[in-house]
Amino acid sequence: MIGAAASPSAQAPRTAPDEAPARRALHAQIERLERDLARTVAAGWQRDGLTAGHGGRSDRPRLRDLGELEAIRDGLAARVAGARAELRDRRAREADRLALVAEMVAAPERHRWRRVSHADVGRPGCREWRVVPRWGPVGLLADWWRVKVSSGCPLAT
Amino acid sequence: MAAALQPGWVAPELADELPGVDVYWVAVAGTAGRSPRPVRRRLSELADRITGARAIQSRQDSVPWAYRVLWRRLGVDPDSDRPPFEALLAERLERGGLRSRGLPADAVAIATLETGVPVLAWDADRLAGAPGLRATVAGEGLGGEARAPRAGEIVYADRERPIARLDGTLAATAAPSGETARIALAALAAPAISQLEVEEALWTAAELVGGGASLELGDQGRTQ
Repeated sequence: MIGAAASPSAQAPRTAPDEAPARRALHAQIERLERDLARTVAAGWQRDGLTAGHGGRSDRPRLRDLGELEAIRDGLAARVAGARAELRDRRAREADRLALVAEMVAAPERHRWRRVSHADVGRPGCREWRVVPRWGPVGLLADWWRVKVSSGCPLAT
Repeated sequence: MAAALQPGWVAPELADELPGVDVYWVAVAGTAGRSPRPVRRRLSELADRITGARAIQSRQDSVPWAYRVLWRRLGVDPDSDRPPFEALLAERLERGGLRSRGLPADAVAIATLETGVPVLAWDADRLAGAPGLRATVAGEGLGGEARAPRAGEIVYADRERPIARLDGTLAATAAPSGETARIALAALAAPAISQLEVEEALWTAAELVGGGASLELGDQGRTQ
């Protein structure tokens, strides 16, 4: 005969495990991740096409159970990681483009007709660097090139 | 204005889970109607100061950020269903201005924009006791055409029924009207928001609603 002390029901915990510390930890993590997301979105300001500031899945406000809080934390962490990677890639491309502008200025004849815009280097506005022949057709025939900086956005009509 | 604001109440399970979440309120003489010119001008001037850069930057400011965190903890994505302050910024950017909706709505918008703290306004005489926060139970609604909250949704409520959604949608049964004589103004405090900021939001709204008249004390303490 199996004694009462050995039965599964007797071995089961008599009180539910205290979730409070885990919930507090999750709340703190969500708080930190939200700050990270805000910083990343602000850092990517005025760069077209970045998706970090776009909303995700939303629900009505209610108290969440532990699993839901974990899902919120994980979703937010993935979004922050994605936003950082997107911004890192974008910054690397922008740095390449800025280096290209420097090369265009140093040796325009090696970058004929090339254009780099402010959007390409993560700056606001419509200005662009263009390699064009000096004095139009004369420069084209004589192979004289220069970098021309446009004056900005077209006026509103 | 010698009156002090009154604490509302927060349901125990919510207070345990989110310490620091609070509701404060005050009742002031006032009614619903067209906003006076100074109020409309103040709203317009506020709208003129809102830019895209400010909207992005505001996410990092301590007050709007605190509400983003609160929304997130409750399972709401603040980029999809924006807290009231950010919803006003978005409205300004999308429409090119902030439309006057009369009093007390304009007072609520100005107070929210100036402080970042969500403020709501009801007809004080149609409330049963102090406003507070709790989860709904099945079958509760906001009346009128407002979408009914789901069971468990966190809403503003008085002693008897839900009176507003967290996003500021008011229950038809408590919304101010032309017959309103007293306006109840309430502000939601998120964790990490000081009482000073909440007070500033409420006094800003109270001054605009009451036209600078003296404030009445709320008649309820923290009870439920």
